[in-house]
Amino acid sequence: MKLYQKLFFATLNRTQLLVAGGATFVGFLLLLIGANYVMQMQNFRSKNELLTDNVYVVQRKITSGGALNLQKTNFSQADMDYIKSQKFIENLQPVTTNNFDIDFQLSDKNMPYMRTDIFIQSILPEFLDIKGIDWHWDSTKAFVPIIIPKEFIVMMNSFLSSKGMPQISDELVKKIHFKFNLKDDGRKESVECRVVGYTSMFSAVLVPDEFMQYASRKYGKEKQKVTQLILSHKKDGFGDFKQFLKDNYLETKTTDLIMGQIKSMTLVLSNFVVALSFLIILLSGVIFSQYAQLLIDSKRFEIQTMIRLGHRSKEISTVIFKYFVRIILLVDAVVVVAFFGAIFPLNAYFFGYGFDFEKLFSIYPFVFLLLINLLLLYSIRRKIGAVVRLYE
Amino acid sequence: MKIELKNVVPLPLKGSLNPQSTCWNTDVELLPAKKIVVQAVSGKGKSTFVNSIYGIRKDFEGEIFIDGISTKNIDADRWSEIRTQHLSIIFQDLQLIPHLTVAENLQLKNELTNHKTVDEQKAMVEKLSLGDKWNTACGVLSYGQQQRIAVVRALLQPFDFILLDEPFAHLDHENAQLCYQMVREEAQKNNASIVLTTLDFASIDEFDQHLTL
Repeated sequence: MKLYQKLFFATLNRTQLLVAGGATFVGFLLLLIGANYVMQMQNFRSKNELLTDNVYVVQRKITSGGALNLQKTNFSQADMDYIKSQKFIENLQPVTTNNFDIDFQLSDKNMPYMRTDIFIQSILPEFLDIKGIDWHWDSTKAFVPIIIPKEFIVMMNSFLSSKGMPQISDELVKKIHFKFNLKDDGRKESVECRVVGYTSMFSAVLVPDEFMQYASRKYGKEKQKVTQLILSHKKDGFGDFKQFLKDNYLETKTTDLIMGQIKSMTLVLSNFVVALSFLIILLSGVIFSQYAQLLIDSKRFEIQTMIRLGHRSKEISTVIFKYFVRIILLVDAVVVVAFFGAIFPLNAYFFGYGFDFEKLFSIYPFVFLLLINLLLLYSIRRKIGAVVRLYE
Repeated sequence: MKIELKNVVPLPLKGSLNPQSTCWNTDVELLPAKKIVVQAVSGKGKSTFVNSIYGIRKDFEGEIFIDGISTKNIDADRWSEIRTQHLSIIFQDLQLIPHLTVAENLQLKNELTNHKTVDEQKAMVEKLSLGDKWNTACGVLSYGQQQRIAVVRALLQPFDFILLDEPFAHLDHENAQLCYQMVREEAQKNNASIVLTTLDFASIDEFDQHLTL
C-alpha cells in the first residue's frame, strides 16, 4: 500500500489539495449550520403553535365600511364564499359562538366554589396542532375537552389567591374538574369538562363542534351567527393575506399578525439560507470534483503503466478512490468538530433573540451531509472508472 | 500458450503494407519455445505488432488469437492474468515510473507475481552494472540505464512469450549482449519464446522464426 501511496500521491500539488479541501470544508460546514437552523426554526415554529401554521382568527372591524357590507358584525355565506375564493386563502372555517345560556363552574371538591357565565366557541380539529388530544365529543364521553384562553389561568390564580389558596400551574389545571351548566327557561343540564390545552388566539373557551351542535339544538334561542372566521393562508401568501384584511376592514390580533410577519420573514430567510447553502455546496462540490479530475488526469501514465504490468483495474480504482474517501472523511471530521464548536455560541446567540430551541441540534443536516458525501464520492468513482477503463 | 495472427492489418498502415510482409494481412503463428525475430525498417509497425499482441492496441482489422480467443474478446481480468503469467514485454518507451526508485519499479511488477526475491532482483540489477542505483529514482537514470531496468522488470514473471520492442537500441554492445543473455536464460528456464523486433540484421541467424513486416 505504501508503494501505491508513493506512486499516486507523492507528487501531488498540496496547494490544490488545500484549496479543494478548504472549499469542501466551507461548503459542508455551511450546509450543516444552515440546514440545522432551518430545521430548528421549523420545530420552533410548530412547537409554539396551538393552531397549525398560517392560521388566524379574523373578525370585522367595529368601525367599518367598504367591500363586504361591513355595517354588520357577522359573516354571511356569500362573504365566506368571497373570502374563500381568494387565491392565497387555503382554508376557512366559521367560528360558531353559543346561542344559548351557559356557565362554567369549578366542580372539584378540593377547590372553592366558583361559577361564571361564559361564551364558548367551537373549532374543527384540523385547525388544531395539539398532538394526542381527542378533539371530539358525544354524549357517551365522560367529559367535554376544552381549550381555555391563557388569561383564564391568571384570572383563576387571582381568584384562588384571594381565597388564600395556593396558585396552580398549567398542568395542574388539566387535572381539575369543571362543568358546564346549560339552561333555558325551565331546563338545566350539567356536563363535565376538562382542560386539554390553552390558546392565546381566542378569548373564548373552545369546545368541539359536536358539543356546540348538541347544546345549540337543545338550548339554542336563535339562529347561530358567525362573527369570527378561522382563516389559513398559503405558505407564501402572507403579504396578500395582510393586504386583504386591510382592504376589507377585517382584523385579527395585532400580535398574531406580527407573529405571522416574523414567521413569514423566518421562512424567507430560511429558504434563502438553504438556497445559499446548496449553492455553496454545489460550488465546493465542483471545486473538489475538479481537483479529483485533475489528480486522476495527472496520474494517467501511472494508471496506464500499472494496467500494462498486469495490475487489475478494480484494484487501481480502489486505491485512488480510497484516497478521496480519506480526504472527504477527514473534511467531514473537521466539519463536525467545527459544527459542534460553533453550535453552542450560535444557540446562545439565537437564545438571546428569543429562539429557545428544543434540541441542541437537528439530526437531518447530517443526513443531508451523508447524501452529499455519497453523491460526491459516486461522481469521483465514475471519473476514476472512466479513466481506468481507457487503458484496459 | 498459442499466439496466432489472422489477416491482421493495422488501420494506420492500411494502404501502405509491404506486399512481402509475413505478418500483416496473412495468417501466422508465433512458434512456442523459439527465438523469433520481427524485422522491419522504421515506420512499418514494429511497435504496433508488439502492442497489438499485448492487447494495448486494438486498431486493426483481422484477429489476433491467444489460446484461440480473439484479443478483442479478452476481458480486463484475463488480460491481467496473461500479463502476469504468460506474456512479458519490454516496451520501446520502457514505461518506468520516473519518481519511483529502481527497487520500487521492480516491486511494482514483482508484487503481482512474487517471481523473484529481492536478493535475486538485486543480483540481476548488479549483473547489469546498476547495483549502486537500487535506491535511485528511475527518472534520473540515463535512457540506457533505464532500458536495463526495464529488462530486469520484464523478467520478474513467468512467461510463455516475451515481447522485446527494440529493447537494446540505446545500449552499447556489451550491455546489449548482457541483457540479451539474461533474457535468453530466463526464456530457457520458462521454455518460452522470445519475440524481438529490430532494425538490426547483424545476428539474425540466431533466430528460429523470421518475420518481416
